[in-house]
Amino acid sequence: MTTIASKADKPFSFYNILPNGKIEFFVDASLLKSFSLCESYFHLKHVQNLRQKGYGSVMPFPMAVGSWWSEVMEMFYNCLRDKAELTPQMIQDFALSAWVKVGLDKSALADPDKFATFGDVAGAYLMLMEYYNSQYIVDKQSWKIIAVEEGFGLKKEVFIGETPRVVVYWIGKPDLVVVENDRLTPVDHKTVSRIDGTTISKYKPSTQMPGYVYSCEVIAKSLGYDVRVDRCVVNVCSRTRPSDNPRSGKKRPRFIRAYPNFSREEIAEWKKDVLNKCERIAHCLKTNEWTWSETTCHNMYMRQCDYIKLHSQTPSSRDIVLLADFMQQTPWVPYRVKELDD
Amino acid sequence: MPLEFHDMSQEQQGGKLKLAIVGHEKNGKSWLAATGRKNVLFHGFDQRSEALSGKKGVYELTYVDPQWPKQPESAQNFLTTLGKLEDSLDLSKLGFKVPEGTLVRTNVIDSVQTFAQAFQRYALYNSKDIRRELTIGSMKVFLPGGWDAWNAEMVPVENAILRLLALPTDTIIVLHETAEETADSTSEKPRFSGRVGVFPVRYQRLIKYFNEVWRVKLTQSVVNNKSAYLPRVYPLPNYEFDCATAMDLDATEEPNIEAMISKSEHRRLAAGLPGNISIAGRGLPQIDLQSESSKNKLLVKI
Repeated sequence: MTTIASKADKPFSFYNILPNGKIEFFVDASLLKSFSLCESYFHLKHVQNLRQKGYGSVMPFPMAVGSWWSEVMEMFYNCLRDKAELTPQMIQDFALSAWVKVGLDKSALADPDKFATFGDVAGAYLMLMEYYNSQYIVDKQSWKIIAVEEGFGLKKEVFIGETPRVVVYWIGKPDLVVVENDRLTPVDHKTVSRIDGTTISKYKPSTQMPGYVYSCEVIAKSLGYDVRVDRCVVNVCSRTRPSDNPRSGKKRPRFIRAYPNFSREEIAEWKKDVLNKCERIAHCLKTNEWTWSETTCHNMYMRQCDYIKLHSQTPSSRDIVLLADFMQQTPWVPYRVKELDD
Repeated sequence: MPLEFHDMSQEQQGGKLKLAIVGHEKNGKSWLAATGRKNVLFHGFDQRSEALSGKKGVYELTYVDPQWPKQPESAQNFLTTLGKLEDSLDLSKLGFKVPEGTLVRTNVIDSVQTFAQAFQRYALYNSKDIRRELTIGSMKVFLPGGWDAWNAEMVPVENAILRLLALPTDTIIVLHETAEETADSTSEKPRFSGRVGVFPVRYQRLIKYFNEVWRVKLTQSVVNNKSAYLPRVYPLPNYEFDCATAMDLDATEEPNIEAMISKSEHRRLAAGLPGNISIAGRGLPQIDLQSESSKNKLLVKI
């Protein structure tokens, strides 16, 4: 198997075996979601770190636009944090520089129809400009920006729990942490294909949101702030521009916000669930048995699973497919910690 | 799952009173709610705290939104209060000047209509795409722009009320009523069924969470040989409204929740049945909030 490992990056592993035999986990919502979808997919993606060749350069349309949106939101809210006045020219610059950084031209070549409907670069600029017109003033007035894309957890800041078999820490990188009316609130940006009546109720139950809420409270307390964090904001944006003249006569929104909030009981339940899942991952690691969930083969985020080509072959020929179509990559690093790097 | 056998005549109900009070404006809904098991904490969104002045054991947190262009905050303040109540039911910890250990026994949302408006104001302020704007002089008024605005209101309202119901206290919500329209009713030619329904109609969906649904209505009564219209409680269903109760009550009751609970309790005990909602809070579960996590006890340290 081909191994591509950048020497500059320290290999990150989401688990370590401790001297006492317990497995120490550093998990986030995306990792646990993968495990819940299919153990076998999780094994190939996160334990073996196998990726399809060429996958990184050609992201599917939703993922490509999502990555671009994440980049522009980071620039947008960094400006707000620095109290810099945002201008339409800056919006244009953000849209273009993020387009180049994410490499959306390559993705547009791979999926021209979807990008044409989106409007390519002009559509991207329009999307960000509409967001600026919709949210800039209100966010400038109501939010004090505390952190933009700041990672946490690798220094064991957020302890979830311990069992006779596992020790679990939560890691993450919230898009934004703000103070609104003296309340510390994590914010997560989401892009969706369109906003409908169910959009704002999609973020409960969730593994990601209680993770941000709990972590914010734990980290704030460790810094000496006795605050209660029990809610977050999901800043939802539709990739598709709603029609100006819809049949119903009511124009659909392009941007909407959901405000999930969590009781102590819900947070305790979430911690228990995270521990349970880590117990199961530990069991799979020890036995090297990863159950294959065939229901996700054709329905992995509305498309086929990345590993369907592998699993659709007879077991004896899978090594050939692995060599031909997959490569082992350096594990994904959630964020860099200077002290750990040193 | 093993089979469980229940003789319902011997089953005790949960100790918590879950009551929805429905009625017209000025018919005594808040007064009735104030007769709940003490101490009663009103979450007042109607800005009518003076209506309860002089009531002992009744406390009110009045939620007021600042004027435009400031961000509305009453809905978020309510969630903060809810978080504090989940930590401790002690009124002194909420900021009331009362001796430590003065616990909340009943939470009241007064009223659901204005409570929901608070959530809607917050959502409309923060999301331009779901609102219409009216400019009146130097002021802007935000109006819902469609179903997304109603959804942005209903989801957190239902969630907040379910969180409130999870507290180890009685929960009372106050709902307004309206004449029920027939299926062929239009705004030009309204037709009515002769029954009443909950207003806003979308909050009919909350009724299923409440065992007790009582209607309050001003009813002609004779007091000291003089005719007067006084509030009366209708806990049993009739042709006008589908009231509901799990208690042993008459069709018409004096507006006093504690007395109604007591009456039902005595009737059931006299009939040799276990009480349903115990007198003076005997049935309230004693939950130590500090060890609430024991419900989710793990084999692990958290």
